[in-house]
Amino acid sequence: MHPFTYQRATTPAQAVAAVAPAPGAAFVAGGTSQLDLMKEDVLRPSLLVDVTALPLTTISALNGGLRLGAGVSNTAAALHPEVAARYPAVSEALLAGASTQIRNMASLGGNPLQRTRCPYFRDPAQACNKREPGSGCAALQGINKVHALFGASNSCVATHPSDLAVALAALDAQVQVTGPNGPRTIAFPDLHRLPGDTPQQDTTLAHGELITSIDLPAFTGRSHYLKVRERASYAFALVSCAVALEMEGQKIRRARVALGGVAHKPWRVPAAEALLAGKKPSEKLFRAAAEAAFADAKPLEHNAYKIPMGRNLMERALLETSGLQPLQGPAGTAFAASVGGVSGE
Amino acid sequence: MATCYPPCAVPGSAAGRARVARSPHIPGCFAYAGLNLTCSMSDEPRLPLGEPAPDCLLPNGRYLHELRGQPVLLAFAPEEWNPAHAHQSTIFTQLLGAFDAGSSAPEAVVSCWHSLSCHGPVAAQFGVAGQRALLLLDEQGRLRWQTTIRPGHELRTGQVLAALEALRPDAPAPCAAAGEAAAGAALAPAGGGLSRRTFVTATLATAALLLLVGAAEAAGPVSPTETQPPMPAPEAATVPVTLTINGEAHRLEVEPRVVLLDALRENLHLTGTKKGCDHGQCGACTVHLDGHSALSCLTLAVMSEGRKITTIEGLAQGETLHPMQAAFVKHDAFQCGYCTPGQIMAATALVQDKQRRSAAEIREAMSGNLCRCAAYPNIIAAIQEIQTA
Amino acid sequence: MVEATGKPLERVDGRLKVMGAARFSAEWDVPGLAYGAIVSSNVAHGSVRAIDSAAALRAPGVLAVLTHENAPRLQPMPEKVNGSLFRGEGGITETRQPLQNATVEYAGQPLAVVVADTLERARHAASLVRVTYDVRPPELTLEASTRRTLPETFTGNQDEKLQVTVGDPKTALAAAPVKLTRVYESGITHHNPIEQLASIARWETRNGAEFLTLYDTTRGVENLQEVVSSSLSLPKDNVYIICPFIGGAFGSKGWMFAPPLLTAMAARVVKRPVKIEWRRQDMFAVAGQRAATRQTLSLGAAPDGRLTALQHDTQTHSSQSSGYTEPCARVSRMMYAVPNLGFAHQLHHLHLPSPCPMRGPGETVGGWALECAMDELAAELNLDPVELRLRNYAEKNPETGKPWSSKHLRECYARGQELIGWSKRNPKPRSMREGNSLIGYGMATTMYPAARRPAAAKATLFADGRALVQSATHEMGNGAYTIFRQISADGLGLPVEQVRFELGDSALPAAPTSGGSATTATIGPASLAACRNVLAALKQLAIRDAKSPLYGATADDLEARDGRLVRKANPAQAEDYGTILRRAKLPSLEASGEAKPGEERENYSFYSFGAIFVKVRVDELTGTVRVDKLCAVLDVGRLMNPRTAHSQIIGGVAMGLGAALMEETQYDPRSGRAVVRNLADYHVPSMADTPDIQVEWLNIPDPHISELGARGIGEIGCVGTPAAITNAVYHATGRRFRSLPLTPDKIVQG
Repeated sequence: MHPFTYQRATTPAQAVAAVAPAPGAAFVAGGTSQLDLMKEDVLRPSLLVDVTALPLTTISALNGGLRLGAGVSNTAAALHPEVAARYPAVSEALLAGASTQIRNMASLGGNPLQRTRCPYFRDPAQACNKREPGSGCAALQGINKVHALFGASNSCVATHPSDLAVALAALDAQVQVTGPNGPRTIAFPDLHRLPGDTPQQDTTLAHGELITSIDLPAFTGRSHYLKVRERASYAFALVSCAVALEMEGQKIRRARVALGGVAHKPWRVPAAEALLAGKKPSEKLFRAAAEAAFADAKPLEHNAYKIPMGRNLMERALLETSGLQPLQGPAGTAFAASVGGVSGE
Repeated sequence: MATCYPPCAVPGSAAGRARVARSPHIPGCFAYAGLNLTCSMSDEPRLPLGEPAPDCLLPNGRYLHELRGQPVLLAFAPEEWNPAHAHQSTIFTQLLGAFDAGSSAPEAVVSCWHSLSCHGPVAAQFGVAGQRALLLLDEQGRLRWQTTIRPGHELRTGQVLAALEALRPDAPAPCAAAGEAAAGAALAPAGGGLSRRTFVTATLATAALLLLVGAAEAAGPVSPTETQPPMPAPEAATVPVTLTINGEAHRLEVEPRVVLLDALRENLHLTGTKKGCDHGQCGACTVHLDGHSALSCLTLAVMSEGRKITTIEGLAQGETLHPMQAAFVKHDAFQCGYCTPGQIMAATALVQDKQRRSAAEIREAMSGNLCRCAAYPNIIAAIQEIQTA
Repeated sequence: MVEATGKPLERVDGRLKVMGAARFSAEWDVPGLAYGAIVSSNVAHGSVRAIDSAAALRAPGVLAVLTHENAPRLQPMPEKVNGSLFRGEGGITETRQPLQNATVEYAGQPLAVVVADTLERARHAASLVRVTYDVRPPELTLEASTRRTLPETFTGNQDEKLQVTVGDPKTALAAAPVKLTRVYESGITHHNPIEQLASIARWETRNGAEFLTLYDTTRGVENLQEVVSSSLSLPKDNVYIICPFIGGAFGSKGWMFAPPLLTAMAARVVKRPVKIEWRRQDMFAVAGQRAATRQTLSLGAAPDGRLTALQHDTQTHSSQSSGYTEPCARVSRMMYAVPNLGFAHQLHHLHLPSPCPMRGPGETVGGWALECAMDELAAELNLDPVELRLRNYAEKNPETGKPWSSKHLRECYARGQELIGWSKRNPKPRSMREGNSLIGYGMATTMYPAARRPAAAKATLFADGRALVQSATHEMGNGAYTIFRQISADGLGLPVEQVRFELGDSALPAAPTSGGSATTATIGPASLAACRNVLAALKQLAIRDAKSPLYGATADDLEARDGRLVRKANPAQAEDYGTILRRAKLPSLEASGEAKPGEERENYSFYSFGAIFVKVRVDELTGTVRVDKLCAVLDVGRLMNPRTAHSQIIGGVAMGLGAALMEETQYDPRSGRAVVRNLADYHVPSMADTPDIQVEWLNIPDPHISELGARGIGEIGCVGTPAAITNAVYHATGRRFRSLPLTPDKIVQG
């Protein structure tokens, strides 16, 4: 790990003031993703500004929705009764991610900012435009089993690994940010970006901008998150799917679907969402929506399996969210919200 | 302390007399911990320094008084088995080769090393019942040096070396005082000035202990001022950090890039917390931070300041295992034992909320702790026993 | 006195392990310790053009940078060590000595060691070393290999020939009324014990000679002592190796010697003790691995299912400098009564890290191929898979013709069927469903060779009546401390609390590398021999001592019981051990003992057997396979300790589950760099993946293996499990999968 200096901030303004002027500076909260990559020499910050002492650790009501402080731990958010009851997709996504220990450490503000699991990004000896712009993309012609189906470029085929982000994208959460130029609000689907020619930039955040909260808008429908992984727990998603479904009588008023593990960002599927709106839930409809969602998929050499897997998972997520099928998830997935395994929260 | 001793000194050169001596065949007369002795004595207050030691029967079948004329080292430890004892004998034998036999014939030196149960009658006789303690008797059978340690504490190399330095026949008095402060060791009023032979005995035995840190006998209290790494202070920017570990404050000077796991293992020598992957992917390094399970490999030491850190060393109450530890033993919830401290820390954090979890819920909640021996079904059984207790 | 052997004693090292007080190799507090960090190769093939250490040497705290240009010279790896072939085709280890030349043979090969005063500084300085290469194209696949060999034997063992023909399998196959030929492929897997490799090396000068102490993660102190001393041109006795605990090995930590050698070299250069703890990513390069295999299985059978021919041909790979060959026919060569039997192994030398044994070397993936092919044949013949196996039940070893020392496999099949509910399943494939899941049942035979090796031990009786037994074997979760204490207690006629067993130290009596499921059968008899010898000496003391009530007896008159020597004819005449010693003014009495296999090995074929039955859920829409229930019924001879044995079997089964469903290391097909090199991407089974595992034993002593009647249990749980799961997935889905692991990408449909 490269040497760095360390500062502890007590207010967001102080944190921003410390990071913004220093090009090599970064915020650190839970550290679970950052320290991992620093030990791999993938990240080499010259200054770490500790934001864990910031007063951003509460969950509060906001305009019929919830404001989740950026410093709230994944565990605390997942087990929060309001979150679990009104936004089950958020709870499910959080609990489907990582392990008890990591959920205890990780923060909501940091979670969506974790970097890709692309193995070439994580190995400094390999070409990676995201890690080292201009060096090339070793994944494009390499082992690209966990890579993107949508929105990739010749510069980068990486996917975004956060489970939480997929649920937040489906729920149209908003991200409150403060930075050198003051505060602003970002719609969650706009937080992450596609790689294009600048894959080094994961998000639309500017250097020195700090997420202060994630706001869940008022929502009275049902939501649900499903994930497929190679191991029954403690593994990143091969594909995942979050559904937010609002009904009007027997019909779907609005459906929002986000897919995980298939793109550089949580992947909303507007064509499928449009197809669902105003229709009565049925297996056939959900199948059609899932097919529409994957119609434009562009598989690489090793990731074509994600197309049937993603279609099936999306269909199942819709079936389970709508109540046409009982909640089961993929075989071997434990669901109960009580599995968080936190103590004393 | 490091000023008293070169930090890189090996035990042999520490005595300043490393040289040739044929390693003799040592008959299997070295003792090891936990021998039952036949003399019976009631609990006595601690023996004062300089006082003649009471007579007693040693594990080799000889009485202490028979050993007059040579220094004797007595080590008291819990009736606790530790395989490191195997190496005690071999290391000891090898160390002889590095020392000047001189006035202390190797056989004599070896035969005067005795490990005893701290729960036995002799421990009571010496006033160290139930404690880990090391006592040095001189040729006249008088107590010249002793050190004890509270349960859960660790021996630090520097402390013992400093204490040894103080015992040197030609040691200056101030250093003796330093040695006392450092190792919690009591010195004979004469300070240094031990006979060379007694000093060699102490050096040999203590050097053996140094190679055996964690062996039950080897112990010295860890004081907040004694937790600096043995290396010279790094030239890069270090920061002072005070870590509260198992209820005790430890002051460190570390670079900001030092993670809690390495601070525990390398700087504080609290090696119960394990490094299995160093990247948050196995759970072996699990500790409690403010009561929650957390990964010490992904936590900077500087960011742990002000938090309540509990490690595996902080679970047992003295010699009494934490119920989860006992349940792990009972259910054979481990094989190689390497992931075990992390499993136990995760499990104890899990059951704190008194929820009764199904096996499926335990499986999910504990999946952050990989066990390559796959003792999983037995770990579940151990946790279920504690949940329902 | 009740015998301790066979009792479910709690682990005697349990207390230390749950307290975090068991001392592992990286944890010794050696004064003056410096830290080493490795610079490894970015490329898989070529040579080092230059290593620029200047920046690293300028970094704070750096003591030295060792490269091939300045590192101490090493002697070549020995040809053979303790009977195992090291060098050459079929040899067990990587023969490349570290930092001796500029050639690069795999990505991740150590090219430099940076030593600094703290861990952080060493690691950081290692990242500052700049290596430039003359890169050559690597050969990374079986197709691309240009160096292919046909090794004659596995590790030089003449009983383990790798190219064998019995009868005429080719003609018999051509003539068989029913035949099938299938190709099975398995990926590279890694042991990934949770304890990473670590060594601490400390040099001293004694008698004017150099003396090296190594604290190393090794399960073979004897071999390591031999390799290190010969490599460094030291007398063997000047190398001392300690390893009282190993944090899991599973085949690793025994046969790869670069890590301790590099540590010893670094410590010699900086003239102070050095520790190198290898990173997890290094474990994918220097710790050994199970190579990938491509196996062609041909079965010929009569219409009733009796096998007429079996041909098992394996393509596998090794590195440039190792001849290690995954011996895939180890099950095929002995499992079924087949008159025409052939097997062959072709080895491809690739630019990949060296393989070495991994739990069930050969058996786990070779047995998988055979037992899957048997399942396919059963389906072809419309026979129950168990019935097909019974019709081909081998009453003797089909390769050698020797009778089995002990075999009760039929009972295992029968009990396994009961436990899983075999008869209640619908045998038709793709016929059972629950919710989103297809349900499948599968089974496979499991086995393991019951090896035994020569070993020595020492027993010491103390005047207080306690005893110490020692042998240079290892504790790696196998329960060695516990079961050898039990065995020794019985051997000495002492309660188990009065006896200690010590191991993991090269100064103790010689024992082979602990592995191959042979430790119990090897060390148990040696310990008993030492116990017998020390008791014989004690008897002589008593017999010759006029003050003893046993004075004048003959040795045969006396027996050892409850810590006393007792006159058989008159048990009232007895004396305890301590009294005899104290009166003789002896603080202790010690004796050595040795034991080795004898002519029984010529007369019998020694194997453990068992059957694995599983129930799986297959979610085809997501590709997820979940093992619901797993039953293992085993015939492993007499159990030494049912508690620790049970754990060992569970562990083996879970590793088989990992091999079946999730474990695979992939290397980039162009660069040869591991793209799976951490525990987030290399999936070892988590608690959520591991079902309830039901283990039952026949517990029938093997009358020939040794006086203990115990065969080994370390690997047999692993061997049959992948096939049982694969066959269950077939039963669930009606689809055959012939490539391990069965990850969701392969299973998913629709």
